[in-house]
Amino acid sequence: MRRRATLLALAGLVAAGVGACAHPPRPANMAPDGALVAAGSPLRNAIAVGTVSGGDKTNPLTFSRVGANEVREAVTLALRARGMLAADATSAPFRLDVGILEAGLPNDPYMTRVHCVMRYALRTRDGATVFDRVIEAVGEASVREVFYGVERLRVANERAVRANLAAGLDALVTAPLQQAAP
Amino acid sequence: MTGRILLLLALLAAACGGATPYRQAGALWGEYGYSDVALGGEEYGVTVRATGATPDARVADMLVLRAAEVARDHGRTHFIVLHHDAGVRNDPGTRVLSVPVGGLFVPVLVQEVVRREKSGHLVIRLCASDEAGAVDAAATAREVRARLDGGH
Repeated sequence: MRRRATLLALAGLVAAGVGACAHPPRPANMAPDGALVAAGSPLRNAIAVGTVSGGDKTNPLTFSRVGANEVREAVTLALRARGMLAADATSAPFRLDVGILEAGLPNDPYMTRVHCVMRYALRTRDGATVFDRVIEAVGEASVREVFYGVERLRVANERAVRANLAAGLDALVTAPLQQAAP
Repeated sequence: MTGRILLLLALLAAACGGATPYRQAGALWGEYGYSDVALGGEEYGVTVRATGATPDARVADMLVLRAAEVARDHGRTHFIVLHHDAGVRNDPGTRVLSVPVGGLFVPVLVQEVVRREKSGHLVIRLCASDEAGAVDAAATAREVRARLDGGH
Protein backbone atom coordinates (compact mmCIF):
# COMPACT_ATOMS: atom_id res chain seq x y z
CA MET A 1 0.00 0.00 0.00
CA ARG A 2 2.78 2.33 0.99
CA ARG A 3 4.69 1.38 -2.17
CA ARG A 4 1.68 2.22 -4.31
CA ALA A 5 1.28 5.60 -2.64
CA THR A 6 4.96 6.32 -3.22
CA LEU A 7 4.65 5.41 -6.89
CA LEU A 8 1.58 7.61 -7.24
CA ALA A 9 3.40 10.49 -5.58
CA LEU A 10 6.37 10.00 -7.89
CA ALA A 11 4.08 9.91 -10.92
CA GLY A 12 2.47 13.12 -9.74
CA LEU A 13 5.85 14.77 -9.37
CA VAL A 14 6.88 13.67 -12.88
CA ALA A 15 3.60 14.97 -14.31
CA ALA A 16 4.08 18.28 -12.50
CA GLY A 17 7.63 18.45 -13.79
CA VAL A 18 6.53 17.89 -17.37
CA GLY A 19 3.86 20.55 -16.95
CA ALA A 20 6.46 22.93 -15.57
CA CYS A 21 8.72 22.60 -18.62
CA ALA A 22 9.29 25.59 -20.85
CA HIS A 23 7.32 25.42 -24.09
CA PRO A 24 8.09 27.25 -27.33
CA PRO A 25 5.69 29.95 -28.52
CA ARG A 26 2.69 28.73 -30.49
CA PRO A 27 2.64 29.83 -34.14
CA ALA A 28 -1.13 30.43 -34.12
CA ASN A 29 -0.70 32.88 -31.25
CA MET A 30 2.08 34.73 -33.10
CA ALA A 31 0.24 35.14 -36.40
CA PRO A 32 -1.56 38.50 -36.55
CA ASP A 33 -4.88 39.07 -38.23
CA GLY A 34 -5.05 41.69 -40.92
CA ALA A 35 -7.13 42.99 -43.74
CA LEU A 36 -6.96 41.20 -47.07
CA VAL A 37 -4.55 42.87 -49.44
CA ALA A 38 -6.28 44.66 -52.32
CA ALA A 39 -7.22 42.51 -55.30
CA GLY A 40 -5.07 44.61 -57.65
CA SER A 41 -1.98 44.51 -55.46
CA PRO A 42 1.12 42.81 -56.90
CA LEU A 43 1.44 41.08 -53.52
CA ARG A 44 -1.91 39.29 -53.81
CA ASN A 45 -1.29 35.50 -53.61
CA ALA A 46 2.27 36.29 -54.71
CA ILE A 47 4.62 35.65 -51.79
CA ALA A 48 6.42 32.46 -50.82
CA VAL A 49 8.07 32.17 -47.43
CA GLY A 50 11.82 32.06 -48.01
CA THR A 51 14.57 31.82 -45.45
CA VAL A 52 13.59 32.28 -41.81
CA SER A 53 16.75 32.45 -39.75
CA GLY A 54 17.92 33.27 -36.27
CA GLY A 55 16.20 32.76 -32.96
CA ASP A 56 16.84 29.95 -30.51
CA LYS A 57 15.27 26.63 -29.80
CA THR A 58 13.43 26.32 -26.51
CA ASN A 59 15.20 24.24 -23.92
CA PRO A 60 12.41 22.68 -21.82
CA LEU A 61 14.60 22.90 -18.73
CA THR A 62 15.20 26.64 -19.00
CA PHE A 63 13.27 29.33 -20.86
CA SER A 64 10.78 29.62 -23.69
CA ARG A 65 12.64 31.03 -26.70
CA VAL A 66 11.55 32.14 -30.14
CA GLY A 67 12.69 29.66 -32.79
CA ALA A 68 12.89 30.00 -36.56
CA ASN A 69 10.52 27.09 -37.19
CA GLU A 70 7.73 28.61 -35.10
CA VAL A 71 8.21 32.02 -36.75
CA ARG A 72 8.14 30.42 -40.21
CA GLU A 73 4.76 28.86 -39.41
CA ALA A 74 3.49 32.17 -38.04
CA VAL A 75 4.66 34.05 -41.16
CA THR A 76 2.90 31.50 -43.36
CA LEU A 77 -0.33 31.82 -41.37
CA ALA A 78 -0.16 35.62 -41.42
CA LEU A 79 0.48 35.81 -45.18
CA ARG A 80 -2.40 33.42 -45.81
CA ALA A 81 -4.75 35.44 -43.60
CA ARG A 82 -3.98 38.57 -45.65
CA GLY A 83 -4.33 36.85 -49.02
CA MET A 84 -0.64 37.28 -49.80
CA LEU A 85 0.59 33.67 -49.66
CA ALA A 86 1.32 32.14 -53.05
CA ALA A 87 -0.44 28.86 -53.78
CA ASP A 88 2.70 27.49 -55.42
CA ALA A 89 5.95 28.52 -53.78
CA THR A 90 8.09 27.50 -56.76
CA SER A 91 6.36 29.92 -59.15
CA ALA A 92 5.72 32.75 -56.67
CA PRO A 93 6.80 36.18 -57.97
CA PHE A 94 8.20 37.14 -54.55
CA ARG A 95 10.03 35.48 -51.68
CA LEU A 96 9.93 36.89 -48.14
CA ASP A 97 13.07 36.27 -46.09
CA VAL A 98 12.76 36.90 -42.37
CA GLY A 99 15.67 37.20 -39.96
CA ILE A 100 15.20 37.15 -36.19
CA LEU A 101 17.84 39.55 -34.93
CA GLU A 102 16.68 39.61 -31.34
CA ALA A 103 13.92 37.93 -29.37
CA GLY A 104 13.02 36.34 -26.14
CA LEU A 105 15.37 37.61 -23.44
CA PRO A 106 13.54 39.61 -20.77
CA ASN A 107 15.36 41.97 -18.47
CA ASP A 108 13.17 41.48 -15.45
CA PRO A 109 11.79 38.31 -13.88
CA TYR A 110 8.47 39.82 -12.77
CA MET A 111 7.41 42.41 -15.33
CA THR A 112 8.19 40.35 -18.42
CA ARG A 113 8.69 42.66 -21.38
CA VAL A 114 10.60 41.29 -24.35
CA HIS A 115 11.82 43.08 -27.43
CA CYS A 116 11.60 41.37 -30.79
CA VAL A 117 13.63 42.71 -33.70
CA MET A 118 13.12 41.13 -37.11
CA ARG A 119 14.36 41.92 -40.60
CA TYR A 120 12.06 41.54 -43.58
CA ALA A 121 13.48 41.31 -47.09
CA LEU A 122 11.14 40.83 -50.05
CA ARG A 123 12.95 39.57 -53.12
CA THR A 124 11.91 38.95 -56.67
CA ARG A 125 12.59 35.65 -58.41
CA ASP A 126 15.86 36.98 -59.81
CA GLY A 127 17.01 37.85 -56.28
CA ALA A 128 16.54 41.62 -56.39
CA THR A 129 15.51 43.06 -53.02
CA VAL A 130 12.44 45.28 -53.42
CA PHE A 131 11.62 45.80 -49.74
CA ASP A 132 14.03 45.76 -46.82
CA ARG A 133 13.01 46.77 -43.32
CA VAL A 134 14.10 46.05 -39.73
CA ILE A 135 11.27 46.32 -37.23
CA GLU A 136 11.23 46.28 -33.43
CA ALA A 137 8.18 45.44 -31.36
CA VAL A 138 7.59 44.61 -27.70
CA GLY A 139 5.46 42.04 -25.96
CA GLU A 140 4.48 42.11 -22.31
CA ALA A 141 2.93 39.77 -19.81
CA SER A 142 2.61 40.56 -16.12
CA VAL A 143 2.42 38.36 -13.05
CA ARG A 144 -1.24 39.29 -12.72
CA GLU A 145 -1.98 37.85 -16.17
CA VAL A 146 0.22 34.75 -16.13
CA PHE A 147 1.49 33.79 -12.70
CA TYR A 148 3.88 31.04 -13.74
CA GLY A 149 7.11 32.63 -14.93
CA VAL A 150 7.99 30.11 -17.67
CA GLU A 151 4.55 30.52 -19.26
CA ARG A 152 4.70 34.29 -18.77
CA LEU A 153 7.79 34.46 -20.95
CA ARG A 154 6.13 32.31 -23.64
CA VAL A 155 3.11 34.62 -23.71
CA ALA A 156 5.30 37.75 -23.84
CA ASN A 157 7.30 36.24 -26.69
CA GLU A 158 4.15 35.39 -28.62
CA ARG A 159 2.87 38.94 -28.24
CA ALA A 160 6.18 40.47 -29.30
CA VAL A 161 6.43 38.37 -32.46
CA ARG A 162 2.77 38.95 -33.27
CA ALA A 163 3.20 42.72 -32.95
CA ASN A 164 6.36 42.58 -35.04
CA LEU A 165 4.73 40.53 -37.80
CA ALA A 166 1.73 42.86 -37.86
CA ALA A 167 3.98 45.90 -38.23
CA GLY A 168 6.18 44.17 -40.79
CA LEU A 169 3.33 43.08 -43.04
CA ASP A 170 1.59 46.47 -42.69
CA ALA A 171 4.80 48.15 -43.84
CA LEU A 172 5.15 45.68 -46.69
CA VAL A 173 1.64 46.38 -47.94
CA THR A 174 1.90 50.17 -47.72
CA ALA A 175 5.51 50.73 -48.82
CA PRO A 176 6.25 51.30 -52.48
CA LEU A 177 8.28 48.40 -53.80
CA GLN A 178 11.69 49.56 -54.97
CA GLN A 179 11.22 48.23 -58.48
CA ALA A 180 8.36 47.03 -60.62
CA ALA A 181 6.98 43.58 -60.00
CA PRO A 182 8.51 40.98 -62.32
CA MET B 1 28.28 33.63 5.25
CA THR B 2 27.46 37.33 5.38
CA GLY B 3 30.75 38.04 3.62
CA ARG B 4 29.85 35.69 0.78
CA ILE B 5 26.44 37.29 0.34
CA LEU B 6 28.04 40.76 0.28
CA LEU B 7 30.59 39.55 -2.27
CA LEU B 8 27.80 38.11 -4.44
CA LEU B 9 25.84 41.36 -4.22
CA ALA B 10 28.95 43.36 -5.14
CA LEU B 11 29.58 41.13 -8.15
CA LEU B 12 25.96 41.46 -9.24
CA ALA B 13 26.10 45.24 -8.89
CA ALA B 14 29.31 45.36 -10.92
CA ALA B 15 27.79 43.10 -13.58
CA CYS B 16 24.66 45.23 -13.89
CA GLY B 17 26.01 48.73 -13.48
CA GLY B 18 29.11 49.20 -15.62
CA ALA B 19 29.69 49.49 -19.33
CA THR B 20 29.20 46.21 -21.17
CA PRO B 21 32.46 44.52 -22.18
CA TYR B 22 32.99 43.30 -25.74
CA ARG B 23 31.85 39.69 -25.44
CA GLN B 24 29.33 37.29 -26.90
CA ALA B 25 25.91 37.51 -25.28
CA GLY B 26 24.93 34.37 -23.44
CA ALA B 27 21.59 32.67 -23.33
CA LEU B 28 21.28 33.41 -19.65
CA TRP B 29 18.83 35.86 -18.18
CA GLY B 30 19.55 39.42 -19.21
CA GLU B 31 23.13 38.84 -20.29
CA TYR B 32 24.65 41.60 -22.40
CA GLY B 33 27.04 41.50 -25.35
CA TYR B 34 26.91 40.86 -29.08
CA SER B 35 25.20 38.17 -31.13
CA ASP B 36 24.93 37.55 -34.84
CA VAL B 37 22.79 35.57 -37.23
CA ALA B 38 23.21 34.41 -40.83
CA LEU B 39 20.33 35.85 -42.85
CA GLY B 40 20.91 33.85 -46.01
CA GLY B 41 23.14 34.50 -48.97
CA GLU B 42 25.96 36.82 -47.94
CA GLU B 43 23.89 38.74 -45.40
CA TYR B 44 24.31 38.76 -41.63
CA GLY B 45 22.59 40.49 -38.75
CA VAL B 46 24.57 41.75 -35.76
CA THR B 47 22.94 42.75 -32.48
CA VAL B 48 24.39 44.36 -29.37
CA ARG B 49 22.57 44.63 -26.05
CA ALA B 50 24.29 46.68 -23.40
CA THR B 51 23.67 48.16 -19.99
CA GLY B 52 22.29 51.67 -19.78
CA ALA B 53 25.70 52.83 -18.52
CA THR B 54 27.39 51.85 -21.78
CA PRO B 55 28.25 54.91 -23.91
CA ASP B 56 26.47 55.13 -27.27
CA ALA B 57 29.82 55.24 -29.08
CA ARG B 58 30.85 51.99 -27.43
CA VAL B 59 27.63 50.28 -28.58
CA ALA B 60 28.33 51.47 -32.14
CA ASP B 61 31.94 50.26 -31.93
CA MET B 62 30.87 46.84 -30.66
CA LEU B 63 28.48 46.50 -33.60
CA VAL B 64 31.08 47.45 -36.19
CA LEU B 65 33.81 45.29 -34.65
CA ARG B 66 31.57 42.25 -34.64
CA ALA B 67 30.56 42.94 -38.26
CA ALA B 68 34.25 43.06 -39.22
CA GLU B 69 34.86 39.80 -37.36
CA VAL B 70 31.94 38.12 -39.16
CA ALA B 71 33.49 39.12 -42.49
CA ARG B 72 36.89 37.80 -41.42
CA ASP B 73 35.39 34.55 -40.06
CA HIS B 74 33.88 33.92 -43.50
CA GLY B 75 37.11 34.60 -45.33
CA ARG B 76 36.01 37.97 -46.69
CA THR B 77 37.75 41.32 -46.56
CA HIS B 78 34.90 43.80 -47.00
CA PHE B 79 31.28 44.32 -46.05
CA ILE B 80 28.48 46.78 -46.78
CA VAL B 81 26.10 48.07 -44.12
CA LEU B 82 22.52 47.63 -45.33
CA HIS B 83 20.82 48.78 -42.13
CA HIS B 84 21.86 50.24 -38.80
CA ASP B 85 19.96 51.41 -35.74
CA ALA B 86 20.66 51.99 -32.07
CA GLY B 87 18.59 53.22 -29.19
CA VAL B 88 17.79 53.28 -25.51
CA ARG B 89 15.12 51.15 -23.90
CA ASN B 90 13.42 52.13 -20.68
CA ASP B 91 11.44 49.09 -19.63
CA PRO B 92 9.31 48.69 -16.52
CA GLY B 93 10.87 46.39 -14.00
CA THR B 94 10.90 45.44 -10.37
CA ARG B 95 13.37 45.51 -7.54
CA VAL B 96 12.66 42.90 -4.89
CA LEU B 97 13.95 43.20 -1.35
CA SER B 98 14.16 39.76 0.25
CA VAL B 99 15.07 38.66 3.74
CA PRO B 100 16.44 35.25 4.71
CA VAL B 101 13.92 33.25 6.73
CA GLY B 102 14.76 29.67 7.63
CA GLY B 103 17.16 29.26 4.71
CA LEU B 104 14.79 30.80 2.15
CA PHE B 105 14.74 34.33 0.79
CA VAL B 106 11.27 35.75 1.32
CA PRO B 107 10.34 38.86 -0.67
CA VAL B 108 9.14 41.62 1.64
CA LEU B 109 9.16 44.63 -0.68
CA VAL B 110 8.56 44.82 -4.42
CA GLN B 111 9.42 48.19 -5.88
CA GLU B 112 8.68 49.26 -9.46
CA VAL B 113 11.72 50.60 -11.26
CA VAL B 114 12.74 51.54 -14.79
CA ARG B 115 15.31 49.24 -16.34
CA ARG B 116 17.44 51.10 -18.85
CA GLU B 117 19.44 49.31 -21.50
CA LYS B 118 20.87 50.05 -24.91
CA SER B 119 20.62 48.07 -28.09
CA GLY B 120 21.81 48.32 -31.66
CA HIS B 121 21.52 46.31 -34.85
CA LEU B 122 23.41 46.06 -38.10
CA VAL B 123 22.49 44.17 -41.24
CA ILE B 124 25.53 43.66 -43.44
CA ARG B 125 26.35 41.98 -46.72
CA LEU B 126 29.81 40.60 -47.39
CA CYS B 127 31.17 41.99 -50.63
CA ALA B 128 34.17 42.60 -52.84
CA SER B 129 36.56 45.47 -52.16
CA ASP B 130 35.53 47.43 -55.26
CA GLU B 131 31.81 47.68 -54.42
CA ALA B 132 30.48 51.12 -53.62
CA GLY B 133 30.32 51.65 -49.85
CA ALA B 134 32.49 48.63 -49.05
CA VAL B 135 34.08 48.77 -45.58
CA ASP B 136 37.56 47.30 -45.07
CA ALA B 137 37.01 44.72 -42.34
CA ALA B 138 40.63 44.37 -41.17
CA ALA B 139 41.34 48.10 -40.97
CA THR B 140 38.04 48.76 -39.24
CA ALA B 141 38.62 45.98 -36.73
CA ARG B 142 42.08 47.35 -35.83
CA GLU B 143 40.79 50.87 -35.37
CA VAL B 144 37.73 49.93 -33.35
CA ARG B 145 39.56 47.35 -31.24
CA ALA B 146 42.07 50.03 -30.24
CA ARG B 147 39.24 52.31 -29.15
CA LEU B 148 37.47 49.58 -27.19
CA ASP B 149 40.70 48.44 -25.51
CA GLY B 150 41.41 52.05 -24.63
CA GLY B 151 38.14 52.15 -22.74
CA HIS B 152 36.45 54.77 -24.94
